[in-house]
Amino acid sequence: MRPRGRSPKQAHRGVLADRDEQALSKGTERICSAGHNAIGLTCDVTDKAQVTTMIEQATARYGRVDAAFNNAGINSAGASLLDTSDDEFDRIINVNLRGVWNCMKAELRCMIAQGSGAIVNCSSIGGMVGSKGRSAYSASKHGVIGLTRSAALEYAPQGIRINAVCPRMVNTPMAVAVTKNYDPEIVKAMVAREPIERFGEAEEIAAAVVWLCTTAASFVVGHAMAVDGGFLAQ
Amino acid sequence: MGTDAMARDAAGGVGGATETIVSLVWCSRSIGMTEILKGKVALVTGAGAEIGLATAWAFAEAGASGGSC
Repeated sequence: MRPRGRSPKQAHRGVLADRDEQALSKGTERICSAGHNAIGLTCDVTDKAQVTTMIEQATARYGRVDAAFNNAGINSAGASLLDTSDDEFDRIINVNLRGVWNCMKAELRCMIAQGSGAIVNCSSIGGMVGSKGRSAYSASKHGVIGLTRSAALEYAPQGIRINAVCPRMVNTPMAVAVTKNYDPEIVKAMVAREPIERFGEAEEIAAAVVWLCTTAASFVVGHAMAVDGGFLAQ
Repeated sequence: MGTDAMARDAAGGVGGATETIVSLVWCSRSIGMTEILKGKVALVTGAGAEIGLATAWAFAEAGASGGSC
C-alpha cells in the first residue's frame, strides 16, 4: 500500500538486481511496500548475456537508466598468494572486476543514447592499499578503480560521470563471515584500530553513493572516494 | 556565475537539461536540498546484500523526497 501523499508519479523508479533470487525478492518487496516503484531482476553479473538482458528489461520497463551502482561483489578466503588457487583468483576477478566491466558496458550504451547518466562502482579500501592474505580480492578492487578512472575520462564529454566508492569494514554478513572465527579480543583490537572506533554501516556507504549520483556531485568525475571512518588518514 | 547558469550547470549530472529539471534543481538548491532524483531511474546490482539494499533504499527515499520543493 502506498503511503498517503505520494502519488505514483512522484515515486522513485528503482531496479534491483542480484543473482540471489530470495534476497532480491525480499529487498524489492521491502522497497515497494514503502510506496516506491521498483522491480527486481535476477542477474549474474559475470554473465554478459544476463547483464544485457537486465538493462534491456530495465529500459523496457522505465525507458532509461539515470544512475547505476555496480555493487555486486564477493570476498575471498584469507590466504597468502601462494596458498590461493588459480581458480579462486579467477572466481574473485570474474565477479568483482569482470562483473563491473560487463555492467558498465551495458549501462554506458544506454546512458550514451540518453546523453546523461551517473555510474558508481563499488571498490574497497582494499582497492587503495595492499592487504596481507587478500591478494586476489585486493587486485580485483584495485582493478575497479583503474576501470573507473579510465572510463570516466572516456565518457565525461558525453555527460556521463563515473566514480567509485571505497568502503572500509562495514557491518555486513560479508564482514561477519571474515571476523566470526576470530577471538573476540582480536575483533575488539580491530575496532580499536579504526579512527572512528567502530565499523561502518551500510547506510553510510549508501549515502555516499547517492550523493555521487546527484547533481551536487556534478563536478566529481573519476574519483575513488574512501568511505572509511578515517582509516586512510592514518 | 548567475543563477540560471548555475542551474544549467547543475542539471548536467543525472538526467537531461530540460526546463523542468533546471527549475527543479534551482528550487532544490534554494531550500538546501541537493537531491533531484525524483522521477529518475536507479539501478543497483548486488541489491540482495546489505550495502546494495541500503543504497536502493536511499535512492528511493531521495527520489521521493526530491519532489517536495
